[in-house]
Amino acid sequence: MKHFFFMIFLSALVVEVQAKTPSRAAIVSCLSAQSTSKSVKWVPLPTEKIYSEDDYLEGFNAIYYIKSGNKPIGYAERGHVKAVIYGNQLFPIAQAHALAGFHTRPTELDPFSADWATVADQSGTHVCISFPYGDLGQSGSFQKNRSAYLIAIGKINGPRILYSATGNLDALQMNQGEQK
Amino acid sequence: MTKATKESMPPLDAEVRLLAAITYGEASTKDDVDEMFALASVLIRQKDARGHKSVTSFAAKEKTFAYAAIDGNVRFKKLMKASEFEILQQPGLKAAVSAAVNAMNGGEDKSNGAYFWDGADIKTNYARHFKVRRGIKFTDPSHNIYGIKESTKVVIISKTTKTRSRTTGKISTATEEVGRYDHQYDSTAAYGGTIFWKLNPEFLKVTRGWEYK
Repeated sequence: MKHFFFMIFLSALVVEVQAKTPSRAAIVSCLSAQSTSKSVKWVPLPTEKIYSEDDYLEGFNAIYYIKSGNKPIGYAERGHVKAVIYGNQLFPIAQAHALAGFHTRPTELDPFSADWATVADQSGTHVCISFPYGDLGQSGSFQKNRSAYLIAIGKINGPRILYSATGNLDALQMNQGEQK
Repeated sequence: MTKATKESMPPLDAEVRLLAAITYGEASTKDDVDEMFALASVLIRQKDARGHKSVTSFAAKEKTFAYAAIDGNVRFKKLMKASEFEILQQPGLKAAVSAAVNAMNGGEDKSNGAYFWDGADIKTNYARHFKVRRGIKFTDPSHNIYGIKESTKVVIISKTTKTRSRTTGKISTATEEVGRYDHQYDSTAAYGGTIFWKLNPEFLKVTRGWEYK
């Protein structure tokens, strides 16, 4: 009996962890910088006012941040170390967790060429930073390849995790259509 | 005069073929010579800006290109597989090769210094197009081949500076405006089905950005 309750407890833990991981639909919407599914709400963050600040936190220079509510959201650098800013925390990009099925590592993030938004669905609400992939990512058909960083917002249990994803929008949306 | 035959054609240089294939793959199906010349020049400019010595090295290290190649671009493959004789016979393929040779030899740059380009997608996907969202401006009405609206939005860049008081030791912060811009991309040319762009100098100045990225 004890074993049974322990298994239920473990299952509950797993469900909670999975709930914090963005869903595939949320990831595709984030990469596409638009809602690609009825279940996902993609909302752009206000980027009319952009701030920078030297020695912002832990020796990092904030290269780009916006204010959403009272929370700064943006991008910082300390030498070669690059990080995403969320609130009063820094999330090193090199330590981002690659999302299952989107393993290709993003290329360099230029915050000015990124789309800053939130994506929300049953898997939670995440800050979504979607940006071009590769050196030619701002031109022609190469723009179909995008990368993204996602981070859960609001109250969550446990540590906040920075996720990364890369994909070809045409292929992803075709697969999404097939899965419906 | 000797007539060209399959057997008499000299083999096409691998570098030229690769650049021509990327150019042909990105060009519209109009097979516009100026469009291909401009595309090839932009590709060479991007290659040079990143310090690659060859097109092969650029293509091998450019991750987006590798991704696109996996996805499969029919026109790219067509030129990569075409025989020298087929290239000579088909105006579109021949134009792409001429464009590649011109760009590699530092010939006329019909893109007028562009670093980026867009095809018909900028019209069909206008409201959600990544460049449209960041702001586009036509420096010449003739560049607006798709009859789309310019998109501008004022963005204000500010810098916050911390100062520690020598007397009290307290840290105070002051935020002041660094500058502003209202679009990121200026058109430089347009041919066939492609609009060419470079970054707005005001945007580059305010953000201290690089013109190639």
